Amino acid sequence: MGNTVMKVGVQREDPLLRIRQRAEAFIRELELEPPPSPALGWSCSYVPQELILAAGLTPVRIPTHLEEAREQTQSYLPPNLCPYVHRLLQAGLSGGLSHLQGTVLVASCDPMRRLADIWELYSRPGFLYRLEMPRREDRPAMEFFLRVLKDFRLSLQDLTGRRIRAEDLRGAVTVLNRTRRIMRELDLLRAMPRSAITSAQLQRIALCVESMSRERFNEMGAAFLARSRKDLLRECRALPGMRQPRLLLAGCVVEDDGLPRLIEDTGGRVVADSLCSGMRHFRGQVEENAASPLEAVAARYLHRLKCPRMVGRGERVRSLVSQARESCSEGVVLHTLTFCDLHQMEVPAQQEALLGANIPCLHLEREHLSGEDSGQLRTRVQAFAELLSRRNRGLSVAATNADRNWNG
Amino acid sequence: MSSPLNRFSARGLLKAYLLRSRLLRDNSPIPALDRVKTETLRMLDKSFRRGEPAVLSGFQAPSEIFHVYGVTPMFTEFLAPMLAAADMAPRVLETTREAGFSRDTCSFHLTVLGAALQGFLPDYSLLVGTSHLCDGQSKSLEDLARRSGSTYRLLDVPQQDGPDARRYLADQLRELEDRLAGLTGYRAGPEDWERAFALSNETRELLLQVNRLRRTEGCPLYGKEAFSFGVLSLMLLGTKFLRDRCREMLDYLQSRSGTGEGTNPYRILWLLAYPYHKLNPIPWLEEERGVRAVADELSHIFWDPLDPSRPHESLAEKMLANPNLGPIEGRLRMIRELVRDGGVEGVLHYSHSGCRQGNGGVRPVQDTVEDVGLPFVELHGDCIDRTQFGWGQMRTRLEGFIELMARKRRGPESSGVGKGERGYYLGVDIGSLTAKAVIVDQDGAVSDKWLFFTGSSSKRTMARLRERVLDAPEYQNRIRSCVATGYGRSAVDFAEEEITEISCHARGMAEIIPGVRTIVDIGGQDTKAISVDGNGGVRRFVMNDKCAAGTGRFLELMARTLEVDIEELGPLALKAGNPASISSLCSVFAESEVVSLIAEDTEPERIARGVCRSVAQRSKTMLDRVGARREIAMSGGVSYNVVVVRELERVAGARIRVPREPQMIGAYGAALLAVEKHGS
Repeated sequence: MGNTVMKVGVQREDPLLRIRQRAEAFIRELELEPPPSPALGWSCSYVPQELILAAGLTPVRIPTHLEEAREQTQSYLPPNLCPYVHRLLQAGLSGGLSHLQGTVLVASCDPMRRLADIWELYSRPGFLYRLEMPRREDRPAMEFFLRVLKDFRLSLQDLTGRRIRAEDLRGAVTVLNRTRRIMRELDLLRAMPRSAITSAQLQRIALCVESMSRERFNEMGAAFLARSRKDLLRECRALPGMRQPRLLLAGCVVEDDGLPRLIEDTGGRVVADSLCSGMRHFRGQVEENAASPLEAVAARYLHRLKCPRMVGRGERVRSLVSQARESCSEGVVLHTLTFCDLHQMEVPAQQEALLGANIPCLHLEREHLSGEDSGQLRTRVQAFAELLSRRNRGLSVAATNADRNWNG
Repeated sequence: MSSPLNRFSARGLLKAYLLRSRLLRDNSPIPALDRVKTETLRMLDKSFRRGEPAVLSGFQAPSEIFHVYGVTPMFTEFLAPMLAAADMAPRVLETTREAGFSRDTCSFHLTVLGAALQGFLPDYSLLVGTSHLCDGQSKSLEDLARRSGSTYRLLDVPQQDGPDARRYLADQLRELEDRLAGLTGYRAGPEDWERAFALSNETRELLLQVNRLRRTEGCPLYGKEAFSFGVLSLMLLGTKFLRDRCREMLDYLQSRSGTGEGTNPYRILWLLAYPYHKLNPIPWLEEERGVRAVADELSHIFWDPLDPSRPHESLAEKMLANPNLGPIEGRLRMIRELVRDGGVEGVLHYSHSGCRQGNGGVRPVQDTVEDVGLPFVELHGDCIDRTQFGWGQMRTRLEGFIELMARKRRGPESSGVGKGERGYYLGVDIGSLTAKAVIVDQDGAVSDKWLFFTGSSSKRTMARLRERVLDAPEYQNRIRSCVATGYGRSAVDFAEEEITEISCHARGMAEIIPGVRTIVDIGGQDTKAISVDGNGGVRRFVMNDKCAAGTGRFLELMARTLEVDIEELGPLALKAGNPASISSLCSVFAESEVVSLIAEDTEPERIARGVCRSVAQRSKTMLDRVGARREIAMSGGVSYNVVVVRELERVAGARIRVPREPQMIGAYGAALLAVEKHGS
């Protein structure tokens, strides 16, 4: 009986396969988009991009996935700062950012503060804005952040020589809200019982979005979704889900598609993420009809899904568990970069909460941002997928504690 | 999570210590310091009492606000040193690792977490973190609060001072005050603030005077003791107790000023923190080498007097005045000031391994110190975790640093070679794998040289050296002087003097390659980059940290993984077109990368080349830090590996000269220094 179904599946053209191929073509188109100009580089998901866009500049994530060598940066920063900070510095020192009008660095954590110093002293950066970002989100923090954003707006005006009016900001909010909506729709395609796009693909799209004109992305993304939606509605619902275990990928910045690809190549399937380089960056909209668009922007950045730099460990841990449940994830991959204190300090609490919720988790600590790292990593990821598949098939009905809090 | 037994024993230990310090009070060398230390412990003891309103906070929280409300504060950064001093840190650190916390986070905060997990700590009703100087602190306090069900408040301190930042922080301090009022059932009035601030301001004045006296010659308060007094004071600011201890300290120092022994110690500025465990270089540095820190950054008084008419704003201003806040320029300014006021001769940065904000600033700090013409040394270590301690390298670095200060004191000098007594001079360089000896005559001409493998016993190596060199008929009783250098230099009992390999390589290389300005020395254990002046004197130097990455040991490990002899690695790599990528910085991980590459059937030639390139890249980092100037020369056993040299030439964009016997440079330099020392 099962065999018959399989055969029918093979004979009919799988619409999901078609969408994935179409997605591949869409990504290749995105990757061919010319770099935007004029543009301003940013380093941290907390940079309010609406203001940059309203100033007539395209906000661009400082590309860190292009550089491999980290040795040069070690004469400026100690090796025990996280690899993301080293890669950012590498990008700054290599002269590869000369097409940008400048950069915005955030006092998001201790290493980022030191990065800004080195950037300022040794890379002759031109325009560099060091953005303050509160770690609380109550009323005084909101008032302070609003004043910070006003100062940021002034600096941007000085840089471009043009005033940022309320309608400029409203326009930027509309554009970026649309981008975020499109990304959310793509995220939902990934979350479907049979993922219409892979997580590796979504990660590549996220990378493209942040290095191209947002208006152009919105057009292209909307067109892709319009084409895919039709197929999906018509045919996909009837098909059974995939066998690969559904996973939530959470934690530190992941710069390229290396890690999700590794997970997907070894038998797992990432259906949701909570990464500042992934969907955490795109979740949460700016209120479009607010009386003060600046306040609306401030509110979005202050109240969105929080990085561990913000106060609120309890809330963050709870939201991880509920995101795993909502996305029907069977397991969670907690990804941290070496020397990222902020994320690492929450790992035990996250593990305990996931254990309590009977959701197995795998903690991966990586020395690098991109690439597939070592064979050892591959083995751990694959073994985790195998373990979840075994649970799926009911082979270990009485999962032991060791199974549930599985650390590889 | 906590065990009542552990809490009971922690209190027992505290009580015993308090009793001991009461009994021994009269014998204390610096009574005011001892009383402050005891008071800190007494406060910890008090926090254990049931119903006692106790607050655990970061050490940059303004303690005045706690004293106004009569709550007992404890700084989390003080708890860890107490545990380290009681040698309990390794044990509690292990607990945090078992609980899943990373090894890499600052051990001050991990230790406190571990102590809480084991139940050694009191129940604090309120935990207060501050965001401005350390991520580890605020994260660990929040975690602790969550685990114990206590309230957590973060004082979010903006990086840039200004009216908006002050308002924001003052608002948070008001909120903190509300919490304290809730905790104690008392609302402080203007007279409470006035009293506490008056005491704090008076103490501030006294501490400024103490710091001034510390800089005077022969002051009995220096180094770690002075640091402890300054830092522990932070928790007691606003109390009568501290004001009185500061008066006592000042009287004590004034009565003894100028009476100190005339040893003329080297005066240094100590940056970042001090190690607290028993394995630390301070007694050696202070007592054996005569180096004294006359200033440090953490006991520096950076704030203006407080204004009781607007207490919250005033405390906010104090916190925001911290020189470590915001761009590094603030810290650099403070360092320049401390260097100038202290009349220091060198600056030491103790890079506590988990301190990202402190260590992240070392490069600009080093550049600033060297701009004012002073020697700088960075020590890698851990203030709390003694298992991270590596004495060999630390000692070489410190001796190199002291040699630089000594050279500066002596002023420019010319070579003494040719002026010495007639006879032979011996230089011995004991490395991790080989021992080298060179004999020169009074004119510096080499008359003999030897190379032995050291093996595991330094005694046996010494015996062989004695037999082959000292007792050889042609040299018996004709060796006028001997200088020992290298990792095992202190084992050479017949040497008149020990000099670091840093100075010896500089001296030896300058003789062989006239005009050399930069030396890369890659030996079995260490990699060093040394900048030298025209006379073969050291200008500045950097060394690798404790790990083996980028050293000869690393190459050896990789050669073993590739199943080739170390000598074959270079020739093998030479055959490769393009190198395989070895990205890991850690030799253990790099080894697993190599294993993966082998498993993927990557040609061994390419892997060998990749390994050589990674060593070269690592050395390039050091060349950059020391400021590579031509001529660049290379010494140490690794310079026999042609591919490492070529790769280094490629990344450095300059020709690298390798002397004919690169392993002998240290011993040769030592022999030349023996001539100079003996002759002058």
